[in-house]
Amino acid sequence: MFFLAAQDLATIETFSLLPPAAIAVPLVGSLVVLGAERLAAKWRNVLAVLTALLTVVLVMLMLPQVLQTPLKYELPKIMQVGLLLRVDLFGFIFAALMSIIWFLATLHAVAYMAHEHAQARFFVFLLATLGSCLGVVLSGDLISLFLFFEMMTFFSYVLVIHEQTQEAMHAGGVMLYLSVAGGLVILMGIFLLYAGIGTAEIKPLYDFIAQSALNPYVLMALFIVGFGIKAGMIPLHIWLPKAHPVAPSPASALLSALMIKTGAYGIFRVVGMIFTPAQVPETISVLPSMEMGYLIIWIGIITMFLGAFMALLSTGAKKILAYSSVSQMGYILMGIGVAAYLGAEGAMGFAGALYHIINHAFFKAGFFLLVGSIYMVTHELDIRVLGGLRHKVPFLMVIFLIAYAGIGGIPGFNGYVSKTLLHHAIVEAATHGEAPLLMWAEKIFMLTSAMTLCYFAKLFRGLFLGRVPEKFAKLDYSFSWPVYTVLSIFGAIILAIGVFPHFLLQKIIIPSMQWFTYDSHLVEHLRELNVWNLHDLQGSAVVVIMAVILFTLLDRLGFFTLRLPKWLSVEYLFYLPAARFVQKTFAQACTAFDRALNCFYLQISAVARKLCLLFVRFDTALNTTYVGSGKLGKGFVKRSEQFDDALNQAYTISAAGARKLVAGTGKFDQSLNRVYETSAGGARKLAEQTEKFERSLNEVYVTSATKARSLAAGSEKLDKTLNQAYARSGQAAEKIVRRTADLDESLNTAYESSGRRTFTIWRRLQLWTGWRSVNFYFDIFLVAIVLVLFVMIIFAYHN
Amino acid sequence: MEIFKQVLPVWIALFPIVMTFVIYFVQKRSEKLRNGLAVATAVITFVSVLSLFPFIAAGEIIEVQLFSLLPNVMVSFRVDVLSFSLSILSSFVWMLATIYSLDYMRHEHGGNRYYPILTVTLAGCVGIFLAGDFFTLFLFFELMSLASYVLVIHEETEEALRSGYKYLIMTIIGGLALFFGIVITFELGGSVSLGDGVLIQEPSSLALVAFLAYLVGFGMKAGMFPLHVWLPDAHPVAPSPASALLSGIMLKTGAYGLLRVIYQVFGMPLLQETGWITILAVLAVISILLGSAVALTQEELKRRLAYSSIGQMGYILLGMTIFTERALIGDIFHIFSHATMKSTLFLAAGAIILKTGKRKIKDLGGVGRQMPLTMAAFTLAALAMIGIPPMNGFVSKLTLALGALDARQPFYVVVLLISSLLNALYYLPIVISAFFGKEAEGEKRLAKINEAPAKMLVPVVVIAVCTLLLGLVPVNIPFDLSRKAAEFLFRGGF
Repeated sequence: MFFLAAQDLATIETFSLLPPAAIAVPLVGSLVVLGAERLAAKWRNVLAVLTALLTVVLVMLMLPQVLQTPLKYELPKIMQVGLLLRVDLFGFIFAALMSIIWFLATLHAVAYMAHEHAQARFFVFLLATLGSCLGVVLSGDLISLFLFFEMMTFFSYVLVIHEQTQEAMHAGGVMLYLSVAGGLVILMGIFLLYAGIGTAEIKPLYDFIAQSALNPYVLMALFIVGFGIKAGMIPLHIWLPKAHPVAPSPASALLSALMIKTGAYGIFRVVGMIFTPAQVPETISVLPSMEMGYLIIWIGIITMFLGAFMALLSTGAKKILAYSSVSQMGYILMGIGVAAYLGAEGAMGFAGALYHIINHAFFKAGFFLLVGSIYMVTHELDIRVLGGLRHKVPFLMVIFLIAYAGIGGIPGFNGYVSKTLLHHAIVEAATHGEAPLLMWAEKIFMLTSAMTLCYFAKLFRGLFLGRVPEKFAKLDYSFSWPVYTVLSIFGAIILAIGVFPHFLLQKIIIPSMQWFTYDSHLVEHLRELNVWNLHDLQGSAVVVIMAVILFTLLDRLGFFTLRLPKWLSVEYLFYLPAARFVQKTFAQACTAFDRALNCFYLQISAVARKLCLLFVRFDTALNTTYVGSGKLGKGFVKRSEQFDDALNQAYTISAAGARKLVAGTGKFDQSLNRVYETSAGGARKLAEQTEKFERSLNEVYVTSATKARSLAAGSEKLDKTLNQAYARSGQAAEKIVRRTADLDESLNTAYESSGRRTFTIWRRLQLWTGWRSVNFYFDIFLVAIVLVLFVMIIFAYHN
Repeated sequence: MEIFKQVLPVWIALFPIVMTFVIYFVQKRSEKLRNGLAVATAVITFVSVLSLFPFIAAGEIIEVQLFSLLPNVMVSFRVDVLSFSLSILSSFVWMLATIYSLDYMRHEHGGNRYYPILTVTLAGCVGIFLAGDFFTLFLFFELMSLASYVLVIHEETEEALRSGYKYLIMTIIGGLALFFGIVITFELGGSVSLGDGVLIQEPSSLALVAFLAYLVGFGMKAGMFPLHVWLPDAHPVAPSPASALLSGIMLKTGAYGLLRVIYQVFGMPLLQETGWITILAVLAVISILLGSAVALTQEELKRRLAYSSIGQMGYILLGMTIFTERALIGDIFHIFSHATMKSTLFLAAGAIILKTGKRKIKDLGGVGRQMPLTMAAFTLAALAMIGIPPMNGFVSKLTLALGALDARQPFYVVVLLISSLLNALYYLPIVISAFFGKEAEGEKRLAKINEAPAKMLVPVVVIAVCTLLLGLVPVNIPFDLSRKAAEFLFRGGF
């Protein structure tokens, strides 16, 4: 049943709920732990460990089925593209590795975290990261993989910065941003692939890719860069030696042992699977994946060498381990490279890389937990300060030595078999692949293995040999049971794999090639491989001898305490300038541009305002003209006014002249007047004189008048006396008159009676004869003469 | 049923206008009644829009013609799937923002002005989406633009007034340009109705002028470079619920208008042949990069969000220039995505400002411990902005990018991803310092949880959960609506 064509894959997949369950259990478990923190803090740790254990069980339950057929689970339409989980044996190995080591690390963390802050947060995110890590390796297509990959990045960020020191925050930041950038690069690759061939499933797709318009080199480069960041591939590794040491040790263990493997897993899947044809090609042709494989080999070689080199120079225990991880990832990448480079004949590289992934996971996790255990007591990990712990913690020393032998590739320990396989692979690549340059790679490979032994020897000496410094002598070096249990298990596994190297190879690793496109011939050859042969043992011995020489040499030269200048680091040379470019130059330039744009608008409005001002000015000018002309008019008016004034003045002056004239005249007049007056005075005097004269005359007159009056009074007295004389004569005359009147009356009566008797006689006569007037006149005449005579007498008498 | 169908669009557009007066006169009696009515109006509007769903789902287009102003110029409404999508989105967000306002505005002055204006702006906004022709659209466009001025200057600080003035000037210029475009369209096409198919068939210089006028009019509203200058001033100074609506909804009216213009006034063939669409594409790309880059240097939280809006609107503008159906789906879905994301961010920022008074990003250290739910909502939305799966931002970015690749435009995808990286660079530090950072100096460590009042917290959380669900759930109605709307536009609006 081996080596079915990948197209037949779909027909034999088994639907299973186990993969989603394995992912969901830790994710849900993390929420349960979060809830448990609120309700019962005591149960939190227990729940966390149990969740991890349950995950192990669920993953392991997949094994019987996975050995037969891949498992599949599909949630269509999630995120509109669907979530596809597919578990083949290759993915299962990663999942099993993850769940087991995670469980052990969680157990260790219960002891490690006992005195740390924010424990609940740590366990919550520890489990969440487990879920997402499992998701990465159980995904059936790249989009689902990407989902879990990003989740892993964000969840593990919280683990990295757990201490929240400035260093941790910085390291976490570098990790996060590089990971996000890497994720986006992967996403670009996914977009291109998905748009190009309509699927991003993880299976051999090269037949489709070759037909599409896609450029496989660009595509693979994108994936290699994206996953390479996570894998700690030089020169994309800079976050790793920062982030791994600052995290709490259980988290460091998982980061270094497992999470960086997701990067390797991604490159494996892309270069080793997606970009391979579904069938072993009949004719030998150079595929793009092969050329990329060659590149990856060299990247791996450089990574392994430089990682080891940097580890030699470091003094922090966790820093050495972190650089060691970079170096070991170089081994793995080299294996992947060989697998890809040799195409269908790359089974040896595949086996070496996968085996080394497994081995590295165990010894590196062991190392980190071990060092973490030391840190729990000492709170110090600088090997220049520490020392002599062999007396204090012999148990840890034993485990350290086992892991050391493992990573050093000492026969009988697990590293031996994988390094041997990798060595075979590189030699195969050099010989079969007709790339003689790779023989140099083989030399570097050997050298790096020796360097590995060296820097771990340095670490060993720093931690366990020498004398215990005062500061650390009196500390209590007893650990709780999880520490002993977990570290013992790691030691046991390293030994077990080392003693029985072929068991894993034949039971797991070779079957996992089933869904990759490898020549069955070579796989059978691999199956019969025996690492216990003289040649390989010799190689191991050579490495050990080289290491001893190298160590003595370097120690003598004082190389271990050497500090490289800061500017030599890739961080200094590339990342900081790049970050500065994005943060400062690019963003600032854009901001400046934006501000300039804003200014431009403001300028426009300013110009508009100026234009308006211009109009205003024109208007003002016009106004000024009016005003000017008005002023002119006014000036004219003023002139004429002035003229008028002058005229007025002239008049005034002339008036004044006239007035003066008048005054002169007046004066003349006055003088004339005076003359008149004087003359009048003269006249008056004359008049007065005249008056005086007159008065005197008057007096004369008055005197004369008085004299005359007294004369008159005298004459009046005379007159009165005369008058009295006359009145007496008058009275006397009156008495005479009255006596005469009486006489007259009596005469009159006598006449009247005689008249009447005459009249009566006359009448009687008239009546008898007719009366005649002549007779009458005579009678009246006689009477009047008598009267006059009489008055005359009276008058005469009176006077 | 037929009458119901005919009355409903008119009712939706006019009901809030009527309620504006009611709210205005009621407030003298009781503030409580005023608040209640404002919320009720938003809810009823939302429910009314929702009740259109059966017709839309059945693929119907509802046309209502009210009366004609000039020959061939009617005041009309036309509800198709695109109108419906945006109406339901805006009325939903409006509802939440109004509820949020109740507690937010309690501490602010001028509530008596705020609620009626908020309601009338809703009418303007929904009216734009439901309008059946460009003339009606223009009426509502101006209503919304002018009414939202009052929201912008609400604080009445000198800064607010200056920003508001800038906004007003730009809005007026935009409105005039839009009107100019409409007039030319009427001249060339003889109609401004959305139901008459592609209106301008022949390329001519006048048509180009119309296209540019539309670009200015709608682009100004959409915050398109180089007409975005009002946006980063106006959005931050408004009260936070208003900012959420300005950034989350009102920007989209510009995008909506351009969608209509591109697909229903000019049509894809004409724009592609003449290459006019490249103008918009170039401006969109600049908007994306510029908005994201400038956001990186902003120190004030709301200002950073505002610049982010420019970048995100750039995605939407870019999406409509790609001319593949998948890109258009992603484009319309990104309208949904951005509305929910940005509303969450602004509402969360408002809650932070209300509780802590902190506006500067560097002061936000430790806010996450004090307001875990608010910041969790903020984080969800920020991750969605970056395009982290399974948020809705990822789905829209994915669809957009695939659409761009369908059109063989990998360059656009690179732009999207660079912008995503920049998004990460300016959003993640906020989240990180909120949860893990130290409190600003001279401040005590506030371990106690001190969340915003429930009426603010609930809308924030609801809409944040939307950003997650709209990415995650398999039955994604907004996505289906986007797909239908894209198909609809691709058919030319029939």
